[in-house]
Amino acid sequence: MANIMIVDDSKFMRELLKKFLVGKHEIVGEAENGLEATEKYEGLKPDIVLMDIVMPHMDGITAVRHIISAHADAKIIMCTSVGQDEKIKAAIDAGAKGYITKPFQGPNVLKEVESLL
Amino acid sequence: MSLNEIEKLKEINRMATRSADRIAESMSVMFGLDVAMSISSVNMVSVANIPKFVGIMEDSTVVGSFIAFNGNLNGSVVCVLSIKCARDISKILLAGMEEEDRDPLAVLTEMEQSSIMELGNIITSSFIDVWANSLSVVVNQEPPVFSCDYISNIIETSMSRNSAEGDFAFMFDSLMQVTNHDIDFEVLVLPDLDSMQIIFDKIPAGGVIINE
Repeated sequence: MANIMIVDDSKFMRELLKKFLVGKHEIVGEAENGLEATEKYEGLKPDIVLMDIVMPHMDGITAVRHIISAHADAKIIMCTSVGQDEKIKAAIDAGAKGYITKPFQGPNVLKEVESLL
Repeated sequence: MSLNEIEKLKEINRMATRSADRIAESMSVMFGLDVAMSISSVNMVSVANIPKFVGIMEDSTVVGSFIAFNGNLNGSVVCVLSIKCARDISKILLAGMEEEDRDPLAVLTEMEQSSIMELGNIITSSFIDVWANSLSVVVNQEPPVFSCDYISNIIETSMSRNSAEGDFAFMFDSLMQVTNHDIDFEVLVLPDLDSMQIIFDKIPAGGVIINE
């Protein structure tokens, strides 16, 4: 069981991801944007972060850079929409360890999380 | 409108049909629902006349989700639906995730608003991806914004937030069939002036090749 932080500006998406993960992993925190995620990461030190890319205030790629600069071993999975190939590449270059693409399915989310444990 | 422009509008309709297929596929996979989506017509309308063309009373409050896009094309995508349709689709999408405390005065709860924005996200990313691939352009989308207002105000806010100045919009009359519910909505693509020109220039006379 991993301690997971979910970062997405959409409350609906955070709840949907929680629905997929509940009972198998522990959701230790949530953030609505990259800035909040970088602040909460320090206190929560989650095993895995599920990070949206397109968010207000600070996007997911910038947040990955901030977190990885302080915690090189951070395990961050990007949550993307179709047609974001360039952004996925930028996120991986920034240090993200994996990605899942919408439309999300429970088994795919679990598989990606468990591949990093 | 010239014959050439009518032919190009037909190509835009073809791209929209492909986008509709993708939207239905995404929603079926993500929510495990039986979803079908069709686009009955595409029209190029002046921005000022959008309220007249949308099948909702001009003085009615509607629900809208708008998303700015930028890159080689700039503008916004606005999804507009009636309050009843918004409540119907959010109830389906939220199955098991509804908020317990409901403000009786609120049109939609925070979770319902969020589900409408996610629906707008799915619709916009499907449209943008098909357009980007078909026209060989790079387009990025911004986070969605929710609005419940008169349609004219939603359009005005969408355009001012994106600093877009366009005279015309593509209006797609859409119907989504989710389980036993018919959800009518309009998808409005509002490119700025330069982007509208790029769109028409990039559609070849023989039609675009839509990558699967």
